[in-house]
Amino acid sequence: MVLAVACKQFSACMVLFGHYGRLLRTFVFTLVFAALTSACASNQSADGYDEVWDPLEPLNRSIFQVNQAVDFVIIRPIAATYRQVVPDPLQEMVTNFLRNLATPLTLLNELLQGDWEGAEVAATRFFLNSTMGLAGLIDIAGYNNPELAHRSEDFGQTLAVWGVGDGPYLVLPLIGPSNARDTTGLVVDVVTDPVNYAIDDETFAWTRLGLTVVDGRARSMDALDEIERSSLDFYAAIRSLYWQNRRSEIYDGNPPPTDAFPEFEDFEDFEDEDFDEGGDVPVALSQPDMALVSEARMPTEPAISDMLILDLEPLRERNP
Amino acid sequence: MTRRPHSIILGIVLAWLSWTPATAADTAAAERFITDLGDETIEILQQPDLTLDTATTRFRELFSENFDIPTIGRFTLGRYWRAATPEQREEFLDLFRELIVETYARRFTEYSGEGFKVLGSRELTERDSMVTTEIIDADGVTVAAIDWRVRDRDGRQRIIDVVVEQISMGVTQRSDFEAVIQRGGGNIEALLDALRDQIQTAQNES
Repeated sequence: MVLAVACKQFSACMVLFGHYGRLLRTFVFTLVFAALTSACASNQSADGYDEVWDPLEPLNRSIFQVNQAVDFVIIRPIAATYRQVVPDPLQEMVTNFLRNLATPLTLLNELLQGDWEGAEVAATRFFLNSTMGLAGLIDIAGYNNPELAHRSEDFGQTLAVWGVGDGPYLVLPLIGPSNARDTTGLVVDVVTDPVNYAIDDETFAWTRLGLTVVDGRARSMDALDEIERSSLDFYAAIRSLYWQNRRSEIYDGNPPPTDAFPEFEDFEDFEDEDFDEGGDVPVALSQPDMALVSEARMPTEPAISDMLILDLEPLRERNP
Repeated sequence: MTRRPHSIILGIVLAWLSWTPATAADTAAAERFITDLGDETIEILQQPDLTLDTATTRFRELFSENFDIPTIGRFTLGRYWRAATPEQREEFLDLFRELIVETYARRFTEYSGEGFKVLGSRELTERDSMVTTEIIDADGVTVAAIDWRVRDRDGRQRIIDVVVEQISMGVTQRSDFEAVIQRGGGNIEALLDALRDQIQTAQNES
């Protein structure tokens, strides 16, 4: 499951897929179609909560369990050893090196997203770090310079910027959390990664994949241990984290906070209201403003306090 | 089921009245609040002979005083809040507080010279501000970016969400809790049981 963090830009799959070109093309088309048809599906549930759409939950949970077992037996021990044995500065160099290799793909996707500023950052980073940064081992560009800090773009994010919705949540075997859109993106990334064309070498591709997995797992170890320890349902926590993390990436670190999930409602306000037990039917309001409010996010929450606190604030900010 | 017409009219009137006088959230006050809370926390952390018991007590105090637990708890229970009985709500809030305290108090005893920097704040809604901070280790290297969502209620500031590296604790916990209830057949008791187990586990760990 952790591999998702790491596997955004892997190259070795190129080798795997290389022999199955036609099959791959069919696969890509199917996934693109799936992602496009899911474009209209919003992540909001009937009662206005943003949440992950997970129609394949039973299957996803089984794959998640298998992934966890594989992680426990193989990947986590390797990553733990790596963390213990390899000196910190060297680990950082590995991270920098892998990020530098992923930069051409980031550049490509910044261009596809029309983010010229981001493209400039990626190009500058790649140029500086590949030369003065000793083939990417040192992040010269981003050192003490937040404007040139590392940023990762992939085709899943590009699709999101183009307006493609998440689609169903998917747990991919070995790779981990994803969704229809990001799976499509992943396949396209493998096919379009410029590095795969520049360095056409199997050993290199496998080494890069292996390092990416270990590096990603090692860096996420503390956080994941903490989440596993503190969550009641690890699967659900990871599902939410994946979604929030991708959202943050799609919005380049600045996801819109107010419209993203419902307002935190004041406790007392809620206590004060007299609500109908089980009153789940939306209220049809003819008042234009109110109708907009109810359409936006009021299906089950007809309380006055909700109208005041929850619904008007986002409404004011929304540009219809 | 239809709503009583007068409550709808009242709602419209109230909504209209509250529409115009949009006052800005006091982001400066929120920033001060977080700065003070951070300083106070670090003062506690720096006590050389901090035992787990003391840490737990002090953390419970800080948490109860500076976090709006009912609001957070109500948010994390999501749609199931409405289905819960008053007794269940009360018990949930108690368990929720204890879960947080037991899970994170142990962290208090693992302090190794970290500090924090308040970087700024921005307005989210009329009452909510997001205060941006960075946790730095003893060498001054940034360890994590943490944003605090602070709500102003009648001039009193309290935290309603903690956002670590763009991950909202409230949102994460809500999906966690909802999944437990759903898997328990929509019964809130399933969550209360799971919370009791988890608190027990956390206590045994320490």
